[in-house]
Amino acid sequence: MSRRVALAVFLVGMAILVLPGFFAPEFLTAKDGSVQGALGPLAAPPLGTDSFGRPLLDFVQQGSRIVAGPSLVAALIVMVLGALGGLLACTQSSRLSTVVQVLGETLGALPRLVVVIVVVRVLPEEWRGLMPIAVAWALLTAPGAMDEAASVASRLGGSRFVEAMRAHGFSRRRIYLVHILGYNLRPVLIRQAAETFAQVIFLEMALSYVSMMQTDISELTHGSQEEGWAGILYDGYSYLALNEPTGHSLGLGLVLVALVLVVVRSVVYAGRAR
Amino acid sequence: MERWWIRPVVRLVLAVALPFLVPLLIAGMIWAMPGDPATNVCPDCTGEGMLQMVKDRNLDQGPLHFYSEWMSSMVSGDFGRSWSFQSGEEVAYLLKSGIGFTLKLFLLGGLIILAGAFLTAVKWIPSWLKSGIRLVGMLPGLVLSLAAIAVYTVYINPSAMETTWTQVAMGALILAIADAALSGTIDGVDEVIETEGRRRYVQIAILRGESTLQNILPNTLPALVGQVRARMLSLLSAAIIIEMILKINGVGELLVVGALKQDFPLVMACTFFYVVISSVMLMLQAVIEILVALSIRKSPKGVA
Amino acid sequence: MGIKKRSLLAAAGLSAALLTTGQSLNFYEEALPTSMNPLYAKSMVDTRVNELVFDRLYFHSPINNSLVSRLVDQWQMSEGGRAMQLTLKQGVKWHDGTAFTATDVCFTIDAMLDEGTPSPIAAKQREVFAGCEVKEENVALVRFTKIFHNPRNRLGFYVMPAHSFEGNTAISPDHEFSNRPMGTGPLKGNRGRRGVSFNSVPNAHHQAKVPQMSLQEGADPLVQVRTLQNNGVQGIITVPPPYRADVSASDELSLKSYDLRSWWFVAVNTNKRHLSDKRVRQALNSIIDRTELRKLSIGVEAGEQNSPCEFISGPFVQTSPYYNRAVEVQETADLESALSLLQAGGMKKVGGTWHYRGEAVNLKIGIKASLDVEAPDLLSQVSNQLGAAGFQRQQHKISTDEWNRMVVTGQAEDYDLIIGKWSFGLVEDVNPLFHTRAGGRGGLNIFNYSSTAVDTLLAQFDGARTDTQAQDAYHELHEVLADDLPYLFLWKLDTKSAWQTSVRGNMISAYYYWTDFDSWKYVQ
Repeated sequence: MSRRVALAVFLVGMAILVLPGFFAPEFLTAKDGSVQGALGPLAAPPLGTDSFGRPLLDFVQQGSRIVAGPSLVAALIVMVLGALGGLLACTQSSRLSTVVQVLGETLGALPRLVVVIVVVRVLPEEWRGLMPIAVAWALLTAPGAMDEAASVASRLGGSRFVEAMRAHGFSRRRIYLVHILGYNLRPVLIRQAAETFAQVIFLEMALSYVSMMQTDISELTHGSQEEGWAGILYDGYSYLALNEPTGHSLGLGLVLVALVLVVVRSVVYAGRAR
Repeated sequence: MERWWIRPVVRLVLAVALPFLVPLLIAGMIWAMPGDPATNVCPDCTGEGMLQMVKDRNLDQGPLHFYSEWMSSMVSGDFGRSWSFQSGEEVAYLLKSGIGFTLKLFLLGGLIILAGAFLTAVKWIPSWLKSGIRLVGMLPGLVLSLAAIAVYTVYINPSAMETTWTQVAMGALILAIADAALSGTIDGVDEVIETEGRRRYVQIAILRGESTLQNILPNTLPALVGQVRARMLSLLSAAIIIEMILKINGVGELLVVGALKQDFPLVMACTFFYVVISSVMLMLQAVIEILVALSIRKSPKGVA
Repeated sequence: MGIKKRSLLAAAGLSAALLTTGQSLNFYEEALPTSMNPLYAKSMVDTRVNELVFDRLYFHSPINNSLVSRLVDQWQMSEGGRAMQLTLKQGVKWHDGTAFTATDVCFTIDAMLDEGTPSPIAAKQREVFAGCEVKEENVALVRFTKIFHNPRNRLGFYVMPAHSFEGNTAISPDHEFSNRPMGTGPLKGNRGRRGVSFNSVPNAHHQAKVPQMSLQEGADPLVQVRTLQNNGVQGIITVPPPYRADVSASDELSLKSYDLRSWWFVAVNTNKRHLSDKRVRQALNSIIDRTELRKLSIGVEAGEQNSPCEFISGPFVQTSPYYNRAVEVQETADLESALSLLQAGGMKKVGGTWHYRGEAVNLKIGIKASLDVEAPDLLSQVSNQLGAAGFQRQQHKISTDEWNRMVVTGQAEDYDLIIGKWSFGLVEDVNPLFHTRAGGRGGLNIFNYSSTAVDTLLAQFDGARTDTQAQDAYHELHEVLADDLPYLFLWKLDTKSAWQTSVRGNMISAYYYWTDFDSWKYVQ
């Protein structure tokens, strides 16, 4: 697969993941005890309905709206901090490096989900949502990305590489932005950002699923008028465990998971070094 | 001269400090939450009894008092009593009942990963198996857990209140395979060995009839240990979701339920448990790094 | 050969049935108990668990509704009706074998009177009891704060053992008793991570035929019903209406009525500027189409016979003696009248959205999360009807923890509307729901509603010396509340349990559920 094809796959995948969010209804269609549920895509196009007769398209659109912003922000944070880590390794400021190292080690030593759960609990109700969780996740992931970027930069020669390029007449801006970030750190940063993007989406699904399993808690990552992609998997679970006719929900949930993975793999492929 | 000792020392200091710092942060968070912590614990309680309860729970003199009392009790093994999850139950008892399952899950999952790393290093894993592991590893833990709990519910034990070995084994397998834990380790080890194996000193050693692993291990051990620690830390996090979905009575589930019910003694104790494990791993990494660095620096002159 | 094989199987089945008689009986509850200490019971689950583990001093017989006791042998009034002397039954023991004595009765009363016991239940009992004196080992003299119309009715509290607390009457919710209680009831309970396990304890006054029980937390109702059908559990305490047909269709299962006297409501925050005008609340009452809500959420069509859901116009179920039948029920929406009421109440419709004093009205609506199981998506249905009428809105589910911490205590001021359910026993005392929150009264007043007229009627009920006086006060209260509308009253929803037919003699008593547990049998 060429890099262009990979890029095209990534763009199409992202469009499928993100664009539905712009058309998402503000409120999910309410459950209706009087209509037949669990209709397949042929009986209730385009995606069928869940056990309570709600269109699965609503779930897809609302799920997209829930995850798109926070997962992209988290990816961006990791990318920026990772780049910072790589660039720092190319400077001669050992004191700054030490400070960053200490911060990185501290954040990196905390079990991420433990911190996220504490964050979920401590936030006031009006702030609750996926965004603060995604930001916390990104900040805890960033030290790893910074480390990896720094080790790539070190392999390049660190500050000696910059000096050598300066000797060839390149400007500092060009060396940092084009040679270090563009040519050398790009694959690492894109991979780290893409992985964080997927992790936040899967984290949202997991936390939503957990809150759906408990009947007496409120949603952790979105409002009560919304239902995310975990709702599709939750509906599909009754096909697996109870043999209910919700196989299409399970299938759709798996397709969404696969789509996220395809997006990640394609962008990593497209962003690899020449 | 490169200051090789900075990182290990930072890690050692952190390993010692984190178990003290994190409970302090949580104590601060109790007071940062909306409302007064003293009235939050029992809003419909009144009178002297309420004041006494606030005092008994060390909520009457601010976060530092709460923290210091918690720390001093914790040293003697007393983590207090649960406020809301299982009112009146000793947190130490709850923690003890959960630690076994979480450790089994974590260690079993970790063992699979370590075995994967070892088998990769000695090149015993065929490439088709690696591809298979990579393919399954792409799936998130949530999806694999759902499949596992469905199978467990339908075929094995539909109404169990106790956690069984089957649940733990399923959880450990998912923990090791899902979210690219095993495949990431295999690829990481492969990459390190490949990169290091191409170096001149290794090629010469091979010509001398020595094994590759024996030569590259001292140089790659710190990086490998770092990778393994990061992976183990991820496992520890992922185990929380797996415990929830597979209904394993572990510490992760206690933490989630405790946090949702504002049972802070329980949250403090569970967080402390996770932080201690993280600290132990951090300390191990630091010690290994120091030993390797010292051993390299003590090598006889003339040996590269 | 075939016949021989079948006879062998039948014999094996019979012996298995005999051998397994009295096996562990597993059932799904709505949730896990929050505390097993009766002084800190907060939910119906807690109350039901208490009924298995403890004995109330007096209770209403589920068979003939008479006031009886398993602990008291004789009683007589003294001190001019302000005290009652109780002679206790001999041979009753606590679960650890210690004898039950008058000390325990007095200890329980002293614990409730002790200001060091921060229990809201105890706080209420302080208005009833003045003290208790141990006359002899099995004779206690209970003193009341005043002369009560039927004083034995006031003795419906659970008795707790003095020795478990070493005589210390200041009882904390953090005491281990909350988790491993000891009572004189038919079963000894032990709370675990995922449930409560019960073991029978033979006693002079209890002979439970089910030796072991286990309470498990039920989550998804579909999973609960399927597990029951597969005999993974033997009972479900509450089966939501949409799943009842499934249960009825099985020969192995039976649906049982559970008289809970519970009614559903939408509490209105009368302290919000835009909801403070009575006409706005009346408009909301006219916007809500109860018939449509019932159909969509519970699946009951209009005019359906034997409907599990009965509309109400005030804070009582229709079968209650306190229900005022003169007050009409609003079954369907009346949007025209709602429109004129909203305009009269100071609202203006701008661009299809209602505005109050130049600001768009955005209603924050909440529901107790656990109710979503019984009436699926009621929150969305109510929200949709308000949305269709021109209100912006936000929806929130409220966890049980937040419900107990914020809603019941009157601290959920940021909400405009909260959907909930109250359940009552034989005594439907609604004073804590509507009385002005002051001086220990109005303990369950969600939005701190305050009305002098209502307070006066509640005081009349409190001071009633006869049933007629009490009824008169509550009939008038019903009328006043239906007009002032601090709540939009929705319906009474029947509660049904499902049990395997192998569970026999399972009489379900009103409210407390397990009062007649001694007659329950499980023959597999």
